Amino acid sequence: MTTTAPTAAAASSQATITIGSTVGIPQLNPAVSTFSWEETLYPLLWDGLTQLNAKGDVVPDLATSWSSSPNSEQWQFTLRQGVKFSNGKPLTAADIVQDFRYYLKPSTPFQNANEIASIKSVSSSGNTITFRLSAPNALFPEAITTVKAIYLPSLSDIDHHPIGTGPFTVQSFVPNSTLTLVANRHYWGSAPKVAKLVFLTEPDPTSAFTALKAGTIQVMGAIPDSDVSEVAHSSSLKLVKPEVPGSYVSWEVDTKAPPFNNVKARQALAYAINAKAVLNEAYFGVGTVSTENDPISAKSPWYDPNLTKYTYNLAKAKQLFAQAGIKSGTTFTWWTTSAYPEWTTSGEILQASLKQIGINLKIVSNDVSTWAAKFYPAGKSYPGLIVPNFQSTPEEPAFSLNFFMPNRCECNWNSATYASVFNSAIGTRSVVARAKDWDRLQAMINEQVPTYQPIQLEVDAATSSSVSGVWEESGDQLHLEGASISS
Amino acid sequence: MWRYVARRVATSIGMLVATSVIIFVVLRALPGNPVITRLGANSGVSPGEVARLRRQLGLDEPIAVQYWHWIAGAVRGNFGRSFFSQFSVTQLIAQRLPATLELTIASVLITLILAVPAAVLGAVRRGGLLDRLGALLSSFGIALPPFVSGIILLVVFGVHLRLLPSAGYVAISTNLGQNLRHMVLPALTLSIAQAPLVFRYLRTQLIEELSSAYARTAEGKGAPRRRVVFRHALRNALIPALTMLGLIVGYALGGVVVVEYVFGIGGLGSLAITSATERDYAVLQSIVLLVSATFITVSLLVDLAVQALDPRLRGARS
Amino acid sequence: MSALLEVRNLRVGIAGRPAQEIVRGVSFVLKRGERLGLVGESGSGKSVTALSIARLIHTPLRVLGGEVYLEGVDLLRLSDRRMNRVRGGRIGLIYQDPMAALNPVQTVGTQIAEAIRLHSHMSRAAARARAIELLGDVGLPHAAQRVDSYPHELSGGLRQRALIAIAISADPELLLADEPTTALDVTTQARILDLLGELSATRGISVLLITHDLAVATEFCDTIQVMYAGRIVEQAAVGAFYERPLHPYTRALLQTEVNLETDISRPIPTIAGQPPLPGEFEGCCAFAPRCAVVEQVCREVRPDLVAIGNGTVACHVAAATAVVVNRRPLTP
Repeated sequence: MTTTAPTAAAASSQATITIGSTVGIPQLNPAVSTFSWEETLYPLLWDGLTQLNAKGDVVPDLATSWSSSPNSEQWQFTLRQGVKFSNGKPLTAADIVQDFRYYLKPSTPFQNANEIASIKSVSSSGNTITFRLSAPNALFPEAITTVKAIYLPSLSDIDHHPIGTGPFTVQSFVPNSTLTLVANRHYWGSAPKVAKLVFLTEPDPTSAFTALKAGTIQVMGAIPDSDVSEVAHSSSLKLVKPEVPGSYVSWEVDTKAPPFNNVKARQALAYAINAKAVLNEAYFGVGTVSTENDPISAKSPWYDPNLTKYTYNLAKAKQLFAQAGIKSGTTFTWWTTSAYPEWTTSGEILQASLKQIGINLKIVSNDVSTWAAKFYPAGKSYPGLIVPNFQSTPEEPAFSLNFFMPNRCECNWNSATYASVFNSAIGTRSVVARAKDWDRLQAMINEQVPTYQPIQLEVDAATSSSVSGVWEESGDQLHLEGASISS
Repeated sequence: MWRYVARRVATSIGMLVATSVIIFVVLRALPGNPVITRLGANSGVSPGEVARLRRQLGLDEPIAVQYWHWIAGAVRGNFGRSFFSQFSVTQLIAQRLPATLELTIASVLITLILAVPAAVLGAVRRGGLLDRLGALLSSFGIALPPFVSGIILLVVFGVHLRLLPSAGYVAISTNLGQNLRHMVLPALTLSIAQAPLVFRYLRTQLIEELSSAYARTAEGKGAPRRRVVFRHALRNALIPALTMLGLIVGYALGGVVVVEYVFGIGGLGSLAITSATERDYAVLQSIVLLVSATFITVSLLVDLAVQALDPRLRGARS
Repeated sequence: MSALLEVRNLRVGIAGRPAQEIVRGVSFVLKRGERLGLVGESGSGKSVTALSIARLIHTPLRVLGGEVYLEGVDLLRLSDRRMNRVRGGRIGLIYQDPMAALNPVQTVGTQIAEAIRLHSHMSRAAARARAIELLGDVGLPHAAQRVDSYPHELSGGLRQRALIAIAISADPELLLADEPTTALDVTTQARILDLLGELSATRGISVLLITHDLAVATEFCDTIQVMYAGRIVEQAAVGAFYERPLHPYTRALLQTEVNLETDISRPIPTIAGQPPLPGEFEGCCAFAPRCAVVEQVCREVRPDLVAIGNGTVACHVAAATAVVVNRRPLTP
């Protein structure tokens, strides 16, 4: 591993880029990715049939083209010719079929299992892969972007020697510490512009950012919000941000247990959130306030502007709390984790607001596991708790709005209407009809307040100004496959 | 002597067993579990899936059975697998042991190189300029948490002077020069915290030895001051200081966690932090066991060394 | 007999304004072959006097003035290097607590050999052989085996013998023996004194014996000097001293003596009061507050040493009541 800045001439094939992150990479199987940072490896080591580009559009990857039956229940993909795995074995349509069957197995903890749950069968013939779905899905090519082509015979050794079709392969791997990638000489596309990518885990954000400034690392994923303005004003560093942010602050309550089983109580809390203060104090102003409690960014074409605005209004909050039978002197609990100091700050701001209308907020800070155990997975009862969290999804509403489907959200909110509208949206090929459905769903979330989305976040990465070709997807996934470095 | 060694070894093993039970039980008593962490990124997980994963990880068995599996494996050198990857605990630890070992040894060496001469100078010229400088610097060193001193060193040597790399670790086998360059700042950070303790302890001890009757006897023989200091006082002061060194090694093992965190070094400390956060029981309990075993062994060796060096503790010879 | 050691107006203490003097102008002469006793209570300055002669005092104590001549050479003005040759070479030292005075982690052989090799060019093996020889000379049984013993493996008496072996290893002309028998039982005390006496006689070594024990001093020494509060208050040949002590302090010391004939069923008399602190009673007789025969003059004028008979004494009362034959001030 070389961590000194390369002195060779521009974009030489000997160049190394070191990428620092506060989050580690614990394992390499793309089907069981446990943390979002691992997804940075998706475009480097793996390919799917389809992929999303910087604009959020679905484009060919291992599939060169695709088509569907009129009702969107049957899909056919044509496999790219001449693709080889990094061990030199050719990729066949049968491999893809096996991979999908592996992803669909209940014992595979695939985090996007819901996206592909409607696949009834997958088969191949020649170069063609055919999917049959149990329900129409016009957005199926989008839904399978996270399913990657894996060389299954070596699955049991995937953390040591992962074999994929991406532009890089693994040279060495120390889980949660260092991962070194080198160019895959069997890659079907154009060769990468650097010889090596080194992923270095630097758990402390301050020292990671220091290492970026020192040049020991040249890319840092998810820089602290407090450092964003310094990067923006630096001549030696540049910011990398998604075109449309896909992350948002998400606070959850148990909508099945009192007091938040009452929609008035949920709306009351929405009015009590001083989102502007939370954004400025806790997130250093990096992001935008979402008054409509909308999980979809205002920058997205799918965003619905005609919704009730929950502008900070304590009088209204007090009135709604009273209507929900919540008396002055009631105590809620802010169940947070010390891993995210901004959550504690957010809690303190909410605490100050609620205090003014006679409601107490007890702030309890835990380590991550203790925090999660209380409300996760969906189905747990946690009355009176307000749990800060965050979500990050691709720009496509099918991903972000999927979270509110029955039995998915830890908020325990189940709405059959919501489910049927959602299914109709992904089932229709008409963009206009789908937009209408997305609007209906946004309106339901706006009115019902199953969770709170006070702020659309912006998770920025930073690179040294010598690095180019790095971009960030809507769900904060960093793309380094085209990265190059000059001296 | 041999009976003493046997007794000490026996108590050490007893302590180790007790430690293993405590860590095993305490870990599982903590809220949260590896299943939840592993499913952490997934929404809409069914209770059935949680139960299945629990069974797969062997967490549904009675705790005594789980403990027995672990210990029975451990004595055969099999510490189990991580819940989060295909790596065995042994592989994970072997990958990270060199960095931690080198860091610990380097920091203890730097500590000795800094503290011993400073203590000698301070004790010989008590109240002199160097003595007062040593006292001042050691107050700083004790007051500064390694976290802060590490960041200061990073900013000064990494960002401003650009002399040394500020993150990561290079194996000795890969590149010795790079390895040493990467080690300087982390080892120094640890030493800044350790050296004052050794300096103060050794200086006090040395002053006591220098004012002792036997030091005066040596001087009375016509031995030059330097000989009195090094041949008599320092040698004797180092015997109790050796016990201190044993504690310093334990201290270093603790400090390593912070230093690895600050400098992004993939050592045992950072592995311990990750596995604690993820509740990766198999990994964490094995690290704790290993570190305890190391500390207990070092204490044992120190005790035996003190025994060997101090004839008064050896018991009558004839 | 010629003077081997001459101490002139030696003053030792903690420097400062005012300086705290512990030894306040001590002068005496030690003749070649003589055994001179320096007697006093603890804190009287006798040990500091002896250590100052060998320049073994450390900060905060320091020599404030005076001279210490060893055969005409002022030791206080020697370079450190040359003083190291004198120390352990021409002057041997024996200390009070033989356990603490030996390095606990080295064998006695090693410690004797170190002393030998510091003053002669001798191989390790030769030094070891010489160490065994010396241990035999000081009466250590089975010297060849005991040479490898550690201090804690020896009895107090044997340790003191080992220390004496160190002290005589370079054939010194003078032994400074600082309370050499204090830590020992009575039988061992007598044996060690016999050994010192024998060494002194056979090797012609002069001895300055520092002790608080008048009995030890009178048994061993030719001449006795009594120190009180940093000054010599009486000096006399041992015979005259015992028969006719002149200073009230000396008389009081003699009365408190305990020996085998003492009736221990009766309370042992002690000298009432406390010895003065450094700097106290500067302008008068320092013993006045505790003195049984004190007079007004004692509280106003400090008595000088005057010759009475064959000795000298610093006491107004003694000087006045003595049958004065050749009374004259003693000039150093």
